[in-house]
Amino acid sequence: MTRQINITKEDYTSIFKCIHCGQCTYSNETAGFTVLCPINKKGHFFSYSAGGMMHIARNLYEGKIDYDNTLKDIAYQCTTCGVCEANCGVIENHLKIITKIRKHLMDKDFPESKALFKVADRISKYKNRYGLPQAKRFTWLEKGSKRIDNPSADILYFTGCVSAFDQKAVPKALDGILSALDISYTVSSDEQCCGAPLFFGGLVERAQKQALHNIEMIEKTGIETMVTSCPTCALMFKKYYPKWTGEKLPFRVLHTMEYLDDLMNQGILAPGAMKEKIIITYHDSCHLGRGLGIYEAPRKLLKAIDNVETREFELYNENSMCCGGGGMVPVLNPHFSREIAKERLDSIPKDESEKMTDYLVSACPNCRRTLGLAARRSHKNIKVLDVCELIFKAMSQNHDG
Amino acid sequence: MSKLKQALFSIFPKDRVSDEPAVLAGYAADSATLPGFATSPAYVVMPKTTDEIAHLVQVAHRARVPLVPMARGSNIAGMSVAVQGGIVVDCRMMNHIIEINTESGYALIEPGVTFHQLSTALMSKRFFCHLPTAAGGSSALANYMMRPSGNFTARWDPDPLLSLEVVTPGQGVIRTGSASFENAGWRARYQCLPDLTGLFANSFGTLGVVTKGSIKIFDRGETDQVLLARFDDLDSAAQYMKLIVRRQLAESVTFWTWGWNLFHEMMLSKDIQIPEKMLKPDQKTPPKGIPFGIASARLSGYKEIVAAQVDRCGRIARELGGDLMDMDKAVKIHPGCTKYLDSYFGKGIHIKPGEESQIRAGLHLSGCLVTVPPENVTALEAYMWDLAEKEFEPPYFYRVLPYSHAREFFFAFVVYVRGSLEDRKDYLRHIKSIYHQLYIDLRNKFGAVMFRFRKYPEFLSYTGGYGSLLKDIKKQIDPYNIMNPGMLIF
Repeated sequence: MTRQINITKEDYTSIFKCIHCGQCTYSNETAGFTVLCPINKKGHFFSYSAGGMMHIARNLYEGKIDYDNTLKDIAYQCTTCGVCEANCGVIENHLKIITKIRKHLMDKDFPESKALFKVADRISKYKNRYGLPQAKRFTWLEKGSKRIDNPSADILYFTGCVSAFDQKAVPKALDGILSALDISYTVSSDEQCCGAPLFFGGLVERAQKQALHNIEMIEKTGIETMVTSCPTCALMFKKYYPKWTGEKLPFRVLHTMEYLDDLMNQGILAPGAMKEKIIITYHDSCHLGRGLGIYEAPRKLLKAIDNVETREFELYNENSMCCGGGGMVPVLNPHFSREIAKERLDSIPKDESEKMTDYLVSACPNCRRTLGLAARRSHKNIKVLDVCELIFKAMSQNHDG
Repeated sequence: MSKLKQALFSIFPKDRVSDEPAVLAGYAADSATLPGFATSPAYVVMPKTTDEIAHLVQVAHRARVPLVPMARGSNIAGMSVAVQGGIVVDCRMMNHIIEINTESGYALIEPGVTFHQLSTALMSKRFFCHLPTAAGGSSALANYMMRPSGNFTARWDPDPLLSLEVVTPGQGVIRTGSASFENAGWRARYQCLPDLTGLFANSFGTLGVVTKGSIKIFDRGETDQVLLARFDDLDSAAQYMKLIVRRQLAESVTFWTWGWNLFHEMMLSKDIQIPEKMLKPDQKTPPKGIPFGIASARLSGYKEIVAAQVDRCGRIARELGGDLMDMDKAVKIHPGCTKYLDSYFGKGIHIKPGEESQIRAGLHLSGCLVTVPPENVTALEAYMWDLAEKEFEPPYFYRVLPYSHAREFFFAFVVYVRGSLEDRKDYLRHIKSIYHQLYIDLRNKFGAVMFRFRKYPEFLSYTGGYGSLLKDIKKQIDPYNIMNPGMLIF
């Protein structure tokens, strides 16, 4: 059998570092080495793990196995939650190798690969994964807003497709906050998909094209700071774009949590208070937390709102569970995505009187979407919000009062 | 569907038996398997009970299909690698700590229980277990079955095993030690008959599938402390280790040379770029500011006694030309390494499940592991340095620890293979070819015995009748040689 996968010699050598210890599936010691990897929770065999996929890659590389349905099921269940890369002591490129497996799956005639190609084609044609006209990217702004292509703005807001087309409450809330603080920002009419769906789907070259476009687009504006509400977009810009171009980005990239935290530290932002006491639980997005290491900023911002009681999940920070919304799993394996989301919702902390949290809060539009859908589907009496929405709510209530 | 497949699917539910190539791929190699040499099993099963394993063994016995038991799968030395066309028995779902008996001082565990799981459970009861330098995520029982190459064993004895439950092809389910007597419990290794627990130790699944076992556990005492002592040569370090173990000052102690300490450092910082200072041609002399080696000891007991032990260890170290290392200073020289030592020796728990094996296997190390009488350890060290200078590329390093009340020393000399494995196949083969003659020479010159079995053709010739007796016993227990065939002398 011929080689089924193209990986570098270095990647091939790195696979040999895996000793099946299972660390890639576990939390760290603070959560007692609980299994967090969604794939491994579902399939018991070692192959259902990032480590297992390294061995699958080795066998593909050595031409010992070929693609089949089981391999496809394993590879397309990865939500790219990053538990593997955060916890494995020796291999740092699990996701890179998993995307290589996916890349080759894309050439096979699986229904999932067709679904991915459909998304890829939408991105090529419409510049977003939803296949909606580019003109609709900024419908979350008021009609006639001067935010689009504003040459005198201080920062550029990269909305990201999920926020722009699906979770519009997130950019709306940020717009409310920045407007209230009189901060001048712009969005670019030339903004395109960050490339994450392509990259995680295995179409790395196409993702790289998106990267080049977005870098050039922002560079042209001459703006020094880009802010985005989407951790996945931020991850692409911060981690993958520089790797692909081999250069440092010519502008600073901040997730909204970092940006708002900066504003609060400078005394510009004061979130204020909720009118009535509420109980919230913060959900760490995988790409924001394990991907970018941002755990404290959202918590500081939430803590700064008066009348908000915060409860933590049992699994939080670097040991947070995935919401099920990443790695294109909602497209490739929606049932599995829903199972993961339900498990996260079921773990929302309750007090002694079994009282639930009022709001489940995240700083990721994709988590908001996935968990929100799961809450509605399971008839759970819980609202899912973005941190920005809660801050804006508190600011508005203060203003009203 | 073949009869075998039908039988397997009747024993195990669909989610615990597979013949899918992608699933089997995860079991086709361990990190000792050279590129291109992975061997795929025909099936993998994940039993949950002894009954399931008993059925499985009967089926395999009848069909004469090879069975390879795998406790947690974190193997690095080729001891439990799938046989082409055979069945891998992945026991990681048999992961229950059945009993922790602090009265009798044992824990009864299944093969899927990890060191982490066991150490954590024991910690809450102020007990601890032997902790070898295997991965924290590896199987405690499987490691104890293969004589752990590690620590907390020096002051008492190197063998933590008591009673076992084993499923064999010839005799079905048997129990050893006190557990062989109905209602006698799992507290003891020996009873009035010859010891069969020992028969299964170091058998690497060639005699049966171990389904549970009792192991020794120890009271943690009021306090514990990690004590570091620096030495400029092995001669003084070995004397120090022997004395502090024999005089009941330390539970355990290990001496790591500077290369190994830097290696710990590198691994724990996740920096896999080997530093220049580790590549210098003179591997005996450490870089400036770094000790030649550090003996890391674990002391425990009442506070006053530990304080006195520290004082006495310090005096012994100084008399021998070494000295204790202030922990704060040690942290400055080796921040990651000391963090590891503090967790491993101090708390008795690995920093994380993959830790130690990652250190050993993560960057592809090739090791020569022997046990040697105390009086020959320094001569053996000199021999190894000379050989390494002639045959190996830097870096190479070793660790030494006293075994069984310092009756012998465990000596592990390790060569780190740099570069792509595909490019270095010839070098790896070269190292392996040297080891063959090396083990013969070390035995003849220093009375050293290989720590892990190596498959050399003349092996039986230097074990006298021992090997033939084992073969006869094997025939009784496993007449068709279905259990991990090709392993050991079978």
